Amino acid sequence: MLKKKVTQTGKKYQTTKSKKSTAKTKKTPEKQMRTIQDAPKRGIIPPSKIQQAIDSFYNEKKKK
Amino acid sequence: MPKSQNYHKFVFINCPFDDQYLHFRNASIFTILDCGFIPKCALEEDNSGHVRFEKIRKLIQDAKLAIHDISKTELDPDTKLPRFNMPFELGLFIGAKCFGTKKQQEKNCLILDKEPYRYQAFISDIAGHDIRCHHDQINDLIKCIRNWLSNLSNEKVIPGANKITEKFNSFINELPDLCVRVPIDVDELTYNDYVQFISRWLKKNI
Repeated sequence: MLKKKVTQTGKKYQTTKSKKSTAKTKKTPEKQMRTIQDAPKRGIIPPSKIQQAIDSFYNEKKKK
Repeated sequence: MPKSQNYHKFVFINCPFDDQYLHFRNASIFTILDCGFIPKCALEEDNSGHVRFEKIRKLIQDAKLAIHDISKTELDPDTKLPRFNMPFELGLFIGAKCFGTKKQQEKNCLILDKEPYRYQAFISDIAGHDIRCHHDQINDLIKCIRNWLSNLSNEKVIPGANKITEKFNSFINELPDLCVRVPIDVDELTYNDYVQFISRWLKKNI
């Protein structure tokens, strides 16, 4: 692809081919983390209440 | 054919339900969830309208995997008789694997006892299966389950047994504080509440 170089004053003076990168892009291997699955059934406590209890416990722990 | 989409993730737990075994059962549930699988147990259905056998048959049919702990063979102090439920459910699972559909034949189980080769004295027909020993130790139980599931998992990052034990101990220490916020006593938690707590706690502490 042709690119026009532009001087600071805005005058076009040369066209060059943009260099293609020859370096191979290294892909970092993704860690396949396990997924913690949801509990299959609800008990006598609403699951949202359990979540609130855990969240408030860790928020307080953070503050300390 | 089981309709469950989680067939490959479900792990049926066949273990004693008495209080003496509770800590072991809780450690098993914790390890299964921490390895990315889903525990299934007869305790999760409290619908008394279901015939018990049907409930167990359905759970076994829906789970590719199972853990059978046959370590508790002692005689009941009142009746002086042994409990046959665990060996019965183990037999049902192996039967499904032998005579079931192609999908059922993919089943895989871990059989646990407390001492090596002890099973030969009371259930020698299971020789040739993968039987591991936990020596009545929580760390060994977690290690047996973790290593078995690690071989069956597509997930590459599963924590080591020591790490899971450490997290399980932290969870047990924090559980009373968490229960206060509900509020409920720890010993009032049902099986399903317990599994909910572990699943959500692990997501916070992955």
